[in-house]
Amino acid sequence: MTKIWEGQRSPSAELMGSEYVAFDAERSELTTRFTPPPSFASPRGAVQGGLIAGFLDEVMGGALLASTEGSEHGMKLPLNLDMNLTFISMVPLAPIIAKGRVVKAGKRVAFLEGELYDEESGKLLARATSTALPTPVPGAE
Amino acid sequence: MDDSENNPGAFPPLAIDSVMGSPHSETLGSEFLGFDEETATATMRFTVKDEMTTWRGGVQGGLVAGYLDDVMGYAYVAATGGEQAPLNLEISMKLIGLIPRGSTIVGKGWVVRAGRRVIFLESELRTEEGQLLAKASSTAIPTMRPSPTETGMG
Repeated sequence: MTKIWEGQRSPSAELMGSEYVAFDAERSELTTRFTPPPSFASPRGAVQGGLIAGFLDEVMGGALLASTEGSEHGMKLPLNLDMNLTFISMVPLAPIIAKGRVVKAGKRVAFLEGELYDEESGKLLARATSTALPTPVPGAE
Repeated sequence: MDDSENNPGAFPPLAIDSVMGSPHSETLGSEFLGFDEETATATMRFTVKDEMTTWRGGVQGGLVAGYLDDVMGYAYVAATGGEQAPLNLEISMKLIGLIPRGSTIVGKGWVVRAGRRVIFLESELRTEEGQLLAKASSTAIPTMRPSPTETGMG
């Protein structure tokens, strides 16, 4: 059976062209490929800064989902309380590799982090950290 | 009663010009309501598209930054008469309420300080009834007004 974070996609994940690449259970690290849609372009011809957070949220959330699968309290999705983003380089309208990790997942709060890389050059493009509430997966209970 | 709060000045034509037809504006369902020069505050309305939402029935948390960035960015674009645009170095945001699928929200963005080398911006999103949904602050560098073929970074 396909695992939920490998197969099912929410409308926003669909929009961002999300594809599962790998999950490293030891590091609680999910790797995803995104193909930014042309509709994310700013007048600069690259992804609008704010929308870059969409990819980072998606991969950080997926990391929490994957790492809590089969855990004592069940699978969890993050409900974000805050997110801090650092923009290192412009994100082109070309495939990017995203890595998301669970720094700590407590019962009441989860700390997540993630990065985006240019798939072709491997160059770091953006980073994020997030504080979130772990909540049950909608429809899974 | 002072009605300037409800009827801010028109968006400078050059500023509107620089953003009209940008693909991301369509994605965000952006509409310009006005710009108040005195407070360097831009007001915009956004219509939430279904593809921006998740299983929870609201906008995906990260994508909320799209609206917040849009309105604070245009505050700076308008404040410079459409001549410059901010290039973000950092955005911090707080997500206070779920932004439901199909809803219409109002964004306000303002210039905290516009230096020659660094710009500080802030923005917030509210329901049409005024309930706070999200807040952001950004640190950016000023660049010349970009176009689809020129990033504006010179």
